[in-house]
Amino acid sequence: MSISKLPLRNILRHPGRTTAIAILVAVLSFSLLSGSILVYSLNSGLRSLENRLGADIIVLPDSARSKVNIDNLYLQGTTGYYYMSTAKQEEITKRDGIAAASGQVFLATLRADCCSMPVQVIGFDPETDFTVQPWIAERAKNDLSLNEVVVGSKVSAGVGESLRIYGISCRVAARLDATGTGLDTAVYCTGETMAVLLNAAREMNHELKITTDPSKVVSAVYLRVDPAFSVEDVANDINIHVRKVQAVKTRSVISGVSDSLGGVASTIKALIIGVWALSFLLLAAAFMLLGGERKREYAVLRVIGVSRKRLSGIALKEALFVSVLGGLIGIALSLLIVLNFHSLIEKALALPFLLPSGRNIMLFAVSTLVCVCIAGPLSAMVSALKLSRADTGIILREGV
Amino acid sequence: MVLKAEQVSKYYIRPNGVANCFEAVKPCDLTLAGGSVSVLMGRSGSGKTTLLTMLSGLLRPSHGRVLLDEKDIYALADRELSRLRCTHFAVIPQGTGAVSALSVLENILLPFSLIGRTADEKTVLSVMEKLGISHLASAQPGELSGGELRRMAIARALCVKPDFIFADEPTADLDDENSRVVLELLRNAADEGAAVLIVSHEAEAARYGDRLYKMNAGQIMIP
Repeated sequence: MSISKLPLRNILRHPGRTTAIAILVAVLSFSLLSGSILVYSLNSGLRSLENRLGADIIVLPDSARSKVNIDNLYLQGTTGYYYMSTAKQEEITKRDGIAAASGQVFLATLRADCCSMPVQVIGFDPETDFTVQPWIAERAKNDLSLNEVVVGSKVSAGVGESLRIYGISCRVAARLDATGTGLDTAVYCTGETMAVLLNAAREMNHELKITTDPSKVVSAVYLRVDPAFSVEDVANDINIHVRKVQAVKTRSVISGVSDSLGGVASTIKALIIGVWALSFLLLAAAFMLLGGERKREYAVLRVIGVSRKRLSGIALKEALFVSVLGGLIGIALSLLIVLNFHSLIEKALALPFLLPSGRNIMLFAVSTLVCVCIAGPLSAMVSALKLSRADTGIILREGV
Repeated sequence: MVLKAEQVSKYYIRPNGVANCFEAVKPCDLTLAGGSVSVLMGRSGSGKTTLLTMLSGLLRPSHGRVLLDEKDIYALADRELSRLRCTHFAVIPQGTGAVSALSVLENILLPFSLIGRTADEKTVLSVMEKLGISHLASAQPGELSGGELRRMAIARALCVKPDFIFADEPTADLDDENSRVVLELLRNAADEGAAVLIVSHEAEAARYGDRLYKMNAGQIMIP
């Protein structure tokens, strides 16, 4: 038997000891990987929300406030419908400091045979839109035609399939990438299609409260502010001078989310540090106790001619093997829980949450394994050095 | 090969003792040469084990030198001293000296993996048979009695055919018959050219020695 196989033999012949240490290492890798994926997902969610909002100001009719929380509309997909006339949009567009303006029409479906959840249908004006089309263009090759829709990543309808909305069959032209927000449960169409859907909804007794022609209403006006003006001033100007509307700065939506996210991320980071510090100390203590227990055995190895360096190597190699084992267990558990329950986590946090890609998850897993493979032997270092430096003669004299 | 101790001594500092410096071995000289058995006798605590561990390169003396063919072994780096221990020395320590993860046979063969030499199967089996442990080859150390573990440690030391064998109370835990076998095996090793140092407080051991030393309160004496 080669002495190089001794660490592995030590692990296999002492399953109780190996399991106890592997569990501690598993806690380390689980906390690191789960925490990293959570923090990354929250940050990605926020970045994606920033990218998707696209506008500086959103103007909503006063009635919107009583129906929906503007933050929730984007974060949790809360469906809402509220309308104002296109004349209001023209009035808003005429205000100073507005570089671009585009209206969108919302329609909430309560029973769409495509989805297990209600979806928000968003109709945009292809002529003026600057918020939706840039990222639809990433997925849809051509402009949307009548009764064609683009669906968010969580809407269960494939490209080419038909989606029935208020009895109208709409062809799915493309699916969008996940954003980790309520936008993932939305369906996008042109204003022309939206007018058809609004008519159909009205015919099906959906309480839309639209008294005018459906093609003459908007739910929200998205504004891009001229760089020469301040967003704050433009929003205030609209709030003061345009009646029955509310101008909301998107930055304030994002900063609110960002503050919450910062708090959650800090808590997760603090937890990771706490768990790591505690587990590292416990591991070091475990290796120290183990070292004491095996003092005599190490002395025997010194007696037969194992050098101090080689003895430390045996102890560290053993710690490394257990770390790999524990690390893999922790990683497997973490992936199992985070990947299977991310929807629950997302709901509980109520923040934009966008899981990393498979490649990034692999990178996180490998990095975690590398970290625990350094931390495990590092925590065994003191014990290994102490053992290898101990005077063999004195240990033998103790006659344990 | 000749191993010489020149004025070696060892003292320990006791942190809370009344006399905090305890001299376990007083300056002494000793020579071990191939082909002879030296027996070091004395009462418990007289410094026998301390002297043995100093001679076998396991405990650095407080003063003096241990010379192997005129070369101070404690002037060597740990790697070289470890190499020397594994190629020229074999120590039978007090108590049970086993690596718990390995079987009895693997424990006996372990020094060969360090030397990088293949064990002579015939010699190993013959030694194990003589020591009455051949049937325990695949047993785990945890399944063995104190006497069996002791015989395993003796077999490990004898099988590598070292130049120097340091046996610390080799017959402790053994019955008369096994004690006789062990002492005869050590005698045979010396007859084949090894230098053997037996530390014992049993009078029987003296019958197998060429030289007898007595130790008392850290002082070596020739009776």
